[in-house]
Amino acid sequence: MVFTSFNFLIFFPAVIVIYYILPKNFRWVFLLVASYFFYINISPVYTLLLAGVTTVTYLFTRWIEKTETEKKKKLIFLLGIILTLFPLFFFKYFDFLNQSIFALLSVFGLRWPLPKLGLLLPVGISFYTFMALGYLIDVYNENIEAEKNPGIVALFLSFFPIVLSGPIERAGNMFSQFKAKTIFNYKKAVKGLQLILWGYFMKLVIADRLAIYLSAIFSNSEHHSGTSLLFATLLYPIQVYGDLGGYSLIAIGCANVMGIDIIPNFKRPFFSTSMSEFWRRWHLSLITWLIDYVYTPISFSLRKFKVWGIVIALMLTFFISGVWHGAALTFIIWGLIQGAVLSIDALLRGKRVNIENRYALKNKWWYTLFCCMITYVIFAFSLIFGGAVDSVSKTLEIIGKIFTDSQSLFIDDSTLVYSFTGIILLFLSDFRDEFFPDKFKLFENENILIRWGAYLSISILIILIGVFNGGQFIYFQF
Amino acid sequence: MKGIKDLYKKLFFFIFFLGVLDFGIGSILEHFYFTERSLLNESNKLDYSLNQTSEDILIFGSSTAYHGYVPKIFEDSLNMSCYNMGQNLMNIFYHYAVLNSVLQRYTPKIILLDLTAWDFVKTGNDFDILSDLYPFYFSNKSVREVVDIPGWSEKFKILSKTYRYNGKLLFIMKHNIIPSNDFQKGYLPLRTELKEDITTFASDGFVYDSLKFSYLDKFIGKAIAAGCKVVVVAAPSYGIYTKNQFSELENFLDEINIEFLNFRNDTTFTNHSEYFYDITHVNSTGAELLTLKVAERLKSQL
Repeated sequence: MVFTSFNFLIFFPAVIVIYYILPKNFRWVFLLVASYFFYINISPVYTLLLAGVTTVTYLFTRWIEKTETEKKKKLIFLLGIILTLFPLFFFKYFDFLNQSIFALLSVFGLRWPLPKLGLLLPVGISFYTFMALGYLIDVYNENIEAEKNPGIVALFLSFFPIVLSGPIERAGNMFSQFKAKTIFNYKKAVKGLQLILWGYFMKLVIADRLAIYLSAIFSNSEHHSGTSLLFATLLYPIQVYGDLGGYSLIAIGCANVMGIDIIPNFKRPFFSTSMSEFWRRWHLSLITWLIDYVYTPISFSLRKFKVWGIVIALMLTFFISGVWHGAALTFIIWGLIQGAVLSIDALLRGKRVNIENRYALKNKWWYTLFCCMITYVIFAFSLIFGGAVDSVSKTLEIIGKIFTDSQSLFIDDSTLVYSFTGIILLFLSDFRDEFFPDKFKLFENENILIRWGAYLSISILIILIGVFNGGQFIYFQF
Repeated sequence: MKGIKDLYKKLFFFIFFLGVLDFGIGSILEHFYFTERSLLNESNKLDYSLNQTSEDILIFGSSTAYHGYVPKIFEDSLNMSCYNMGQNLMNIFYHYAVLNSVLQRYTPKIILLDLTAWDFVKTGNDFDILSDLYPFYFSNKSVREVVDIPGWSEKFKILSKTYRYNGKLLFIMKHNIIPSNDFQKGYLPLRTELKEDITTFASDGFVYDSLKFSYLDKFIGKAIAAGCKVVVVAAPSYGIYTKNQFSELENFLDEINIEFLNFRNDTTFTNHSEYFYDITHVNSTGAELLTLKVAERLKSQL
């Protein structure tokens, strides 16, 4: 069962009705049962893995808290980290490392192959593993207390809106909400439903519609011109935004309807004027996780190297981000590109600010537009490595073709017309939120006719041009 | 403070208004989908194929059939009426629904089935493409049979009148404004020539999908049981295939004594880019040559 399945449209309302009928004390228990039911419907066998990671996390956080000597505490913490990471490593990285080491040793004439496992990646494993790790680290650093109720920990790691693709939540934010005896909040529930509606629009009308055009090009790149490949490259970030952004909104919206707040994942990323700003707006839950648990400790330990310490910390952080996204060289390169671009951004920041101040560029619309476009293009090109295609050679072939082959553009008129209808509406909405947050309101308009007109128009657009039975969410593969 | 009952009440009204709007918009789309102007061209093809055909020869298949066989050539050389039922992107489930519908009305003399990989290899959108049949879901039992294959949820989705025309808005607008003039008894010629070097494909044989294969079996079985002559064709493609990808299909057709005309690596076509529109479709010149070759073969057997 995924958000775009018909089953979810039955499951979610049923959960809400029962959730609010039940006494407040039992609501978290019901959510736990519903969450495991949701996950079992997707991946019955791998539910055991989720339960295993939950058990390890619960036992080790309790053990860490009870331990008094610092050395022993550290040992338990490291053991907890290893055990929590083991399933992720085993399912996601074993084959990649196995093949990489084999290829490396083969260069020296050493050929000791281990069999390829070819296991399917348990859906959501990268997300709930990071949530479990964050919780372990927070308890070890004494930022939060270890939760005594194993059911609450289990609910935190399996909470159905976020278990498959995030946002990657923090124990500190969620435990208190699960335990709180919340009363029904009408405004929050309505806001949640609005987010769900817009999330479905982003996923079904934009991401899945674009996916038809983009997969036709990227999966047959050898038969497409450089012009088509360039066009597809420039559209791909919008597909990913529609896909993960849409998923995140549905997840946040579902939680809101139950009175639970989830951290946002996107903040109008395509209005970023630099890559450092972009990464403060794109996949926020992952980036803040990496900043808190990877970048900050590394940059702190390297502070004596000043700006170069920051550069090393950035490179390492985004290397890990690349590895997290996928066990493939393409993702590692993608991560390193982000690290390199952000490092250049950090090194040149002072000069850029001086120039901007001297010519008062920040107030000029054309300068903002230019910076947004440059940032977008840099990210779009880096994404050719970050999931558009699955091999480095293919990526390089595409980049080569973009600069050498300017034949005609592949047109799929209906797909492009429908996609651009969605894209235009998305950009108008983001533009309004960015520059005129209190004007031209639709979903939040006080006039009931405009508000309901907007709800119904978006719903009809989804039914009319959305792609049903389309692909899975892109981030399920991570 | 507003409570949950207020929310339920508003959700009820929302669903009610959405239902009304859905019915209204769906009805407008239905009207323009079935208008006379629209019926002059492509959107009529499906209606005609399902409900009106009476020709002796019917050509089934996806885009390779649609753009690959010229009915007039069959009519001239075999002295029988002919209609090209080929429809872009369609697969064996679609062909089966249309055949079933035809056989409930009459028995054609010859069924020509043009097969591509999509007819027996599993793809991610095997059932999505059947959305072309949605406008006929409630009026045609054969359509319902294949649309319902993926599961019960489709039955509910299709209750939405607008959903039946999902993704067809542009198609409806286009065909109501600019009817196609090039449409010849179901055949649509592709006029340009391919300018590309030939590619060698070293891919392995197909992995057959058992469900699709069972529908291929049912398609042929139904046609034979009704008394039709069935001929299966694989259209030429502009590429060299190092392995015969149709070997399993050939064995199957051989067993049930059905003729298989495999033009995939036919040297009359391969290496001749002037016969192709792209690597998988012949252009109008190629279509005429292909139809002549098939017609000759059929003539020798009649």
